[in-house]
Amino acid sequence: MALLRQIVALLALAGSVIASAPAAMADDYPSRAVKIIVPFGAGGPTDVYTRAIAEELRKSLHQPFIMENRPGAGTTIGTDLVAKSQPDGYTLLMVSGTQTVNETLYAHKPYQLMRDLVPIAPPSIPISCSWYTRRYRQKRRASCWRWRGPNPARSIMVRQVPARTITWPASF
Amino acid sequence: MAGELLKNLTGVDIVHVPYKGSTGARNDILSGQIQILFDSVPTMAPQIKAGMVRALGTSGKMRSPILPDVPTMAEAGVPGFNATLWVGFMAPAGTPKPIIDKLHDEITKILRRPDIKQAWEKTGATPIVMTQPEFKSFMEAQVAKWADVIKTNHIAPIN
Repeated sequence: MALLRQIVALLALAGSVIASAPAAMADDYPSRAVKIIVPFGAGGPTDVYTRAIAEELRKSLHQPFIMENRPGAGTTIGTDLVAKSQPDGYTLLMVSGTQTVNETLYAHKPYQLMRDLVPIAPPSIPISCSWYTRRYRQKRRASCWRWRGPNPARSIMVRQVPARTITWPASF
Repeated sequence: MAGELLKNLTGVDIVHVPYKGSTGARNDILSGQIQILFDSVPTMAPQIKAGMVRALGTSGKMRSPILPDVPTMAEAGVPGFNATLWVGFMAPAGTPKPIIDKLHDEITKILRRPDIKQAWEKTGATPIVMTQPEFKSFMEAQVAKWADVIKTNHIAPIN
Protein backbone atom coordinates (compact mmCIF):
# COMPACT_ATOMS: atom_id res chain seq x y z
CA MET A 1 0.00 0.00 0.00
CA ALA A 2 2.81 2.32 0.98
CA LEU A 3 4.58 1.42 -2.27
CA LEU A 4 1.44 2.15 -4.26
CA ARG A 5 1.09 5.52 -2.55
CA GLN A 6 4.72 6.28 -3.38
CA ILE A 7 4.15 5.39 -7.00
CA VAL A 8 1.05 7.56 -7.12
CA ALA A 9 2.99 10.40 -5.52
CA LEU A 10 5.81 9.98 -8.02
CA LEU A 11 3.37 9.93 -10.90
CA ALA A 12 1.68 13.03 -9.58
CA LEU A 13 5.05 14.73 -9.28
CA ALA A 14 5.97 13.67 -12.81
CA GLY A 15 2.66 15.04 -14.01
CA SER A 16 3.28 18.39 -12.42
CA VAL A 17 6.75 18.59 -13.93
CA ILE A 18 5.39 17.84 -17.39
CA ALA A 19 2.57 20.35 -16.96
CA SER A 20 4.81 23.13 -15.73
CA ALA A 21 7.64 22.58 -18.24
CA PRO A 22 6.01 24.35 -21.21
CA ALA A 23 4.90 27.28 -19.04
CA ALA A 24 8.44 27.68 -17.71
CA MET A 25 9.70 27.39 -21.28
CA ALA A 26 7.48 30.30 -22.31
CA ASP A 27 8.57 32.38 -19.31
CA ASP A 28 12.22 31.99 -20.28
CA TYR A 29 11.54 32.42 -23.97
CA PRO A 30 13.37 33.86 -25.74
CA SER A 31 16.65 33.37 -23.89
CA ARG A 32 18.76 33.83 -27.02
CA ALA A 33 18.51 35.26 -30.53
CA VAL A 34 15.53 34.20 -32.66
CA LYS A 35 16.01 33.72 -36.38
CA ILE A 36 13.29 34.69 -38.87
CA ILE A 37 13.77 33.08 -42.27
CA VAL A 38 12.47 35.25 -45.11
CA PRO A 39 12.16 33.12 -48.25
CA PHE A 40 12.40 36.23 -50.48
CA GLY A 41 15.22 38.61 -51.35
CA ALA A 42 15.70 41.66 -49.13
CA GLY A 43 13.85 44.92 -49.74
CA GLY A 44 10.44 43.80 -51.00
CA PRO A 45 7.23 44.89 -49.29
CA THR A 46 6.83 41.64 -47.35
CA ASP A 47 10.43 41.90 -46.15
CA VAL A 48 9.93 45.47 -44.98
CA TYR A 49 6.91 44.74 -42.72
CA THR A 50 8.47 41.63 -41.27
CA ARG A 51 11.57 43.64 -40.46
CA ALA A 52 9.44 46.26 -38.68
CA ILE A 53 7.80 43.58 -36.51
CA ALA A 54 11.16 41.92 -35.82
CA GLU A 55 12.50 45.23 -34.52
CA GLU A 56 9.50 45.71 -32.21
CA LEU A 57 9.81 42.12 -30.95
CA ARG A 58 13.46 42.78 -30.15
CA LYS A 59 12.44 45.76 -28.02
CA SER A 60 9.61 44.00 -26.17
CA LEU A 61 11.21 40.55 -25.69
CA HIS A 62 14.79 41.81 -25.16
CA GLN A 63 16.47 39.39 -27.56
CA PRO A 64 17.58 39.95 -31.16
CA PHE A 65 15.12 38.82 -33.85
CA ILE A 66 17.43 38.31 -36.80
CA MET A 67 16.10 38.27 -40.35
CA GLU A 68 17.77 35.89 -42.75
CA ASN A 69 16.85 36.11 -46.44
CA ARG A 70 16.79 32.67 -48.07
CA PRO A 71 15.24 33.20 -51.51
CA GLY A 72 14.99 30.53 -54.16
CA ALA A 73 12.67 28.04 -55.86
CA GLY A 74 9.66 30.31 -55.40
CA THR A 75 9.98 30.43 -51.56
CA THR A 76 10.12 26.65 -51.19
CA ILE A 77 13.81 26.59 -50.14
CA GLY A 78 13.39 28.95 -47.18
CA THR A 79 10.06 27.43 -46.17
CA ASP A 80 11.50 23.92 -46.19
CA LEU A 81 14.43 25.08 -44.07
CA VAL A 82 12.04 26.19 -41.30
CA ALA A 83 9.79 23.14 -41.70
CA LYS A 84 12.84 21.00 -40.88
CA SER A 85 14.19 23.20 -38.06
CA GLN A 86 14.01 22.40 -34.34
CA PRO A 87 10.51 23.26 -33.10
CA ASP A 88 11.84 25.32 -30.21
CA GLY A 89 10.69 28.82 -31.12
CA TYR A 90 14.14 29.96 -32.25
CA THR A 91 13.54 29.55 -35.97
CA LEU A 92 10.48 31.25 -37.41
CA LEU A 93 9.24 31.72 -40.96
CA MET A 94 7.91 34.74 -42.75
CA VAL A 95 4.91 33.49 -44.65
CA SER A 96 2.99 35.26 -47.41
CA GLY A 97 0.36 34.51 -50.02
CA THR A 98 3.08 33.13 -52.28
CA GLN A 99 3.50 30.04 -50.10
CA THR A 100 -0.25 29.35 -50.22
CA VAL A 101 -0.10 29.49 -54.03
CA ASN A 102 2.97 27.26 -54.12
CA GLU A 103 1.22 24.66 -52.00
CA THR A 104 -0.55 23.64 -55.22
CA LEU A 105 1.83 25.05 -57.83
CA TYR A 106 4.90 23.10 -56.67
CA ALA A 107 3.97 19.47 -57.07
CA HIS A 108 7.06 17.92 -55.49
CA LYS A 109 8.15 20.08 -52.62
CA PRO A 110 9.63 18.44 -49.54
CA TYR A 111 7.08 19.83 -47.04
CA GLN A 112 3.38 20.48 -46.61
CA LEU A 113 2.72 24.01 -45.46
CA MET A 114 -0.23 23.45 -43.11
CA ARG A 115 1.08 20.12 -41.82
CA ASP A 116 4.73 20.90 -41.17
CA LEU A 117 4.33 24.47 -39.94
CA VAL A 118 1.98 26.20 -37.51
CA PRO A 119 0.58 29.69 -38.07
CA ILE A 120 1.45 32.28 -35.39
CA ALA A 121 0.05 35.66 -36.42
CA PRO A 122 -0.56 37.87 -39.45
CA PRO A 123 1.19 41.22 -39.16
CA SER A 124 -0.06 43.06 -42.21
CA ILE A 125 -2.01 43.16 -45.42
CA PRO A 126 -0.68 45.66 -47.96
CA ILE A 127 -3.52 45.89 -50.43
CA SER A 128 -2.47 45.18 -53.98
CA CYS A 129 -3.39 46.99 -57.10
CA SER A 130 -3.82 46.47 -60.75
CA TRP A 131 -2.10 49.00 -62.95
CA TYR A 132 -2.29 50.42 -66.37
CA THR A 133 0.46 52.48 -67.93
CA ARG A 134 -0.21 56.06 -68.87
CA ARG A 135 1.78 55.71 -72.06
CA TYR A 136 -0.22 52.68 -73.02
CA ARG A 137 -3.48 54.47 -72.33
CA GLN A 138 -2.59 57.37 -74.58
CA LYS A 139 -1.33 55.25 -77.42
CA ARG A 140 -3.89 52.53 -77.29
CA ARG A 141 -7.12 54.11 -76.19
CA ALA A 142 -8.74 53.50 -79.55
CA SER A 143 -8.14 49.80 -79.44
CA CYS A 144 -9.39 49.25 -75.91
CA TRP A 145 -12.65 47.58 -75.20
CA ARG A 146 -14.78 47.89 -72.16
CA TRP A 147 -15.61 44.92 -70.05
CA ARG A 148 -18.99 45.50 -68.47
CA GLY A 149 -19.49 44.06 -65.05
CA PRO A 150 -22.65 44.42 -62.98
CA ASN A 151 -21.73 48.08 -62.48
CA PRO A 152 -21.04 49.41 -66.00
CA ALA A 153 -20.22 52.90 -64.80
CA ARG A 154 -17.17 51.54 -63.07
CA SER A 155 -16.07 48.93 -65.56
CA ILE A 156 -12.42 48.35 -66.05
CA MET A 157 -10.66 48.82 -69.31
CA VAL A 158 -8.89 45.82 -70.71
CA ARG A 159 -7.45 45.79 -74.16
CA GLN A 160 -7.64 42.84 -76.47
CA VAL A 161 -4.06 42.26 -77.46
CA PRO A 162 -1.96 39.47 -78.85
CA ALA A 163 -1.60 37.09 -75.95
CA ARG A 164 2.14 37.43 -75.56
CA THR A 165 2.09 41.13 -74.69
CA ILE A 166 0.33 40.90 -71.34
CA THR A 167 2.26 39.76 -68.36
CA TRP A 168 2.67 39.96 -64.62
CA PRO A 169 5.02 38.55 -62.06
CA ALA A 170 4.74 34.90 -61.22
CA SER A 171 5.73 35.66 -57.68
CA PHE A 172 2.47 37.39 -56.89
CA MET B 1 -1.81 34.68 -59.65
CA ALA B 2 -4.07 37.69 -59.14
CA GLY B 3 -4.19 37.85 -62.92
CA GLU B 4 -5.30 34.25 -63.10
CA LEU B 5 -8.03 35.07 -60.59
CA LEU B 6 -9.13 37.95 -62.83
CA LYS B 7 -9.32 35.57 -65.79
CA ASN B 8 -11.19 33.09 -63.68
CA LEU B 9 -13.84 35.57 -62.55
CA THR B 10 -14.32 37.50 -65.79
CA GLY B 11 -13.48 35.11 -68.58
CA VAL B 12 -11.20 37.78 -70.09
CA ASP B 13 -8.52 36.08 -72.16
CA ILE B 14 -5.13 37.15 -70.87
CA VAL B 15 -1.95 35.12 -71.05
CA HIS B 16 0.34 35.16 -68.08
CA VAL B 17 4.04 35.48 -68.85
CA PRO B 18 6.05 34.87 -65.70
CA TYR B 19 8.73 37.24 -64.41
CA LYS B 20 11.38 36.07 -61.98
CA GLY B 21 10.36 38.74 -59.51
CA SER B 22 8.28 41.89 -59.39
CA THR B 23 11.22 44.27 -60.05
CA GLY B 24 11.54 43.34 -63.72
CA ALA B 25 7.79 43.59 -64.24
CA ARG B 26 7.71 46.95 -62.49
CA ASN B 27 10.42 48.32 -64.79
CA ASP B 28 8.54 47.03 -67.81
CA ILE B 29 5.22 48.61 -66.85
CA LEU B 30 6.95 51.94 -66.25
CA SER B 31 8.66 51.80 -69.62
CA GLY B 32 5.46 50.75 -71.38
CA GLN B 33 6.65 47.26 -72.35
CA ILE B 34 3.68 45.64 -70.64
CA GLN B 35 0.13 46.83 -70.20
CA ILE B 36 -1.21 45.46 -66.96
CA LEU B 37 0.48 44.52 -63.72
CA PHE B 38 -0.59 43.52 -60.24
CA ASP B 39 1.85 44.94 -57.72
CA SER B 40 1.77 46.11 -54.13
CA VAL B 41 0.36 49.49 -53.13
CA PRO B 42 3.42 50.49 -51.08
CA THR B 43 5.71 50.02 -54.10
CA MET B 44 3.43 51.61 -56.69
CA ALA B 45 1.67 54.46 -54.87
CA PRO B 46 4.55 56.91 -55.56
CA GLN B 47 4.42 56.00 -59.27
CA ILE B 48 0.66 56.66 -59.36
CA LYS B 49 1.09 59.99 -57.64
CA ALA B 50 3.84 60.89 -60.12
CA GLY B 51 1.49 60.07 -62.98
CA MET B 52 3.68 57.26 -64.30
CA VAL B 53 0.91 54.66 -64.13
CA ARG B 54 -2.80 54.64 -63.70
CA ALA B 55 -4.42 52.60 -60.95
CA LEU B 56 -7.36 50.53 -62.19
CA GLY B 57 -8.38 48.95 -58.95
CA THR B 58 -7.18 47.67 -55.62
CA SER B 59 -7.39 43.94 -55.21
CA GLY B 60 -8.60 43.74 -51.60
CA LYS B 61 -12.12 43.89 -50.21
CA MET B 62 -11.57 47.43 -48.91
CA ARG B 63 -10.04 50.46 -50.58
CA SER B 64 -6.47 51.29 -49.72
CA PRO B 65 -6.19 54.04 -47.10
CA ILE B 66 -3.48 55.77 -49.14
CA LEU B 67 -5.40 55.52 -52.42
CA PRO B 68 -8.94 56.40 -51.34
CA ASP B 69 -10.01 57.41 -54.86
CA VAL B 70 -9.04 54.08 -56.42
CA PRO B 71 -11.98 51.65 -56.49
CA THR B 72 -11.64 48.07 -55.36
CA MET B 73 -11.69 45.52 -58.15
CA ALA B 74 -15.16 44.50 -56.97
CA GLU B 75 -16.36 48.11 -57.21
CA ALA B 76 -14.73 48.40 -60.62
CA GLY B 77 -16.85 45.56 -61.93
CA VAL B 78 -15.26 42.26 -60.89
CA PRO B 79 -17.40 41.00 -58.00
CA GLY B 80 -15.72 38.45 -55.78
CA PHE B 81 -12.23 39.63 -56.62
CA ASN B 82 -10.02 39.51 -53.56
CA ALA B 83 -6.30 38.87 -53.79
CA THR B 84 -4.23 40.70 -51.25
CA LEU B 85 -0.58 40.51 -50.52
CA TRP B 86 -0.23 39.55 -46.88
CA VAL B 87 2.53 38.68 -44.48
CA GLY B 88 2.55 36.49 -41.40
CA PHE B 89 4.69 34.28 -39.20
CA MET B 90 4.84 30.51 -38.88
CA ALA B 91 6.91 28.13 -36.74
CA PRO B 92 7.86 24.48 -37.24
CA ALA B 93 5.07 22.05 -36.24
CA GLY B 94 5.66 20.82 -32.71
CA THR B 95 6.78 24.19 -31.35
CA PRO B 96 5.40 24.34 -27.77
CA LYS B 97 2.05 26.10 -27.64
CA PRO B 98 3.07 28.48 -24.82
CA ILE B 99 5.85 29.82 -27.09
CA ILE B 100 3.45 30.22 -30.03
CA ASP B 101 0.96 31.96 -27.70
CA LYS B 102 3.64 34.29 -26.39
CA LEU B 103 4.74 35.29 -29.90
CA HIS B 104 1.13 35.69 -31.02
CA ASP B 105 0.30 37.93 -28.06
CA GLU B 106 3.43 40.06 -28.50
CA ILE B 107 2.82 40.54 -32.24
CA THR B 108 -0.84 41.38 -31.57
CA LYS B 109 0.19 43.99 -29.00
CA ILE B 110 2.53 45.57 -31.54
CA LEU B 111 -0.13 45.57 -34.28
CA ARG B 112 -2.69 47.23 -31.98
CA ARG B 113 -0.39 50.19 -31.27
CA PRO B 114 -1.76 53.38 -32.86
CA ASP B 115 1.73 54.55 -33.87
CA ILE B 116 2.38 51.32 -35.80
CA LYS B 117 -1.06 51.44 -37.43
CA GLN B 118 -0.56 55.05 -38.51
CA ALA B 119 2.97 54.49 -39.81
CA TRP B 120 1.93 51.43 -41.80
CA GLU B 121 -1.22 52.95 -43.22
CA LYS B 122 0.83 55.81 -44.63
CA THR B 123 2.64 53.23 -46.75
CA GLY B 124 -0.54 51.37 -47.73
CA ALA B 125 -0.39 48.43 -45.33
CA THR B 126 -3.06 47.54 -42.79
CA PRO B 127 -2.02 45.76 -39.60
CA ILE B 128 -4.40 42.84 -39.11
CA VAL B 129 -5.20 41.23 -35.80
CA MET B 130 -6.41 37.63 -35.88
CA THR B 131 -6.55 34.87 -33.29
CA GLN B 132 -4.43 31.81 -34.07
CA PRO B 133 -7.45 29.73 -35.20
CA GLU B 134 -8.59 32.64 -37.38
CA PHE B 135 -5.16 32.92 -38.99
CA LYS B 136 -5.07 29.16 -39.52
CA SER B 137 -8.50 29.22 -41.20
CA PHE B 138 -7.44 32.22 -43.28
CA MET B 139 -4.34 30.36 -44.50
CA GLU B 140 -6.30 27.19 -45.24
CA ALA B 141 -8.83 29.23 -47.23
CA GLN B 142 -5.97 30.84 -49.18
CA VAL B 143 -4.47 27.45 -50.04
CA ALA B 144 -7.90 26.22 -51.18
CA LYS B 145 -8.62 29.35 -53.22
CA TRP B 146 -5.35 29.20 -55.14
CA ALA B 147 -5.68 25.45 -55.66
CA ASP B 148 -9.03 26.20 -57.30
CA VAL B 149 -7.62 29.01 -59.49
CA ILE B 150 -4.71 26.78 -60.58
CA LYS B 151 -7.05 23.89 -61.40
CA THR B 152 -9.66 26.02 -63.21
CA ASN B 153 -7.05 27.73 -65.37
CA HIS B 154 -5.15 24.51 -66.09
CA ILE B 155 -1.89 25.92 -64.79
CA ALA B 156 0.78 23.24 -65.02
CA PRO B 157 2.45 22.44 -61.68
CA ILE B 158 6.16 23.17 -61.31
CA ASN B 159 8.24 20.11 -60.51
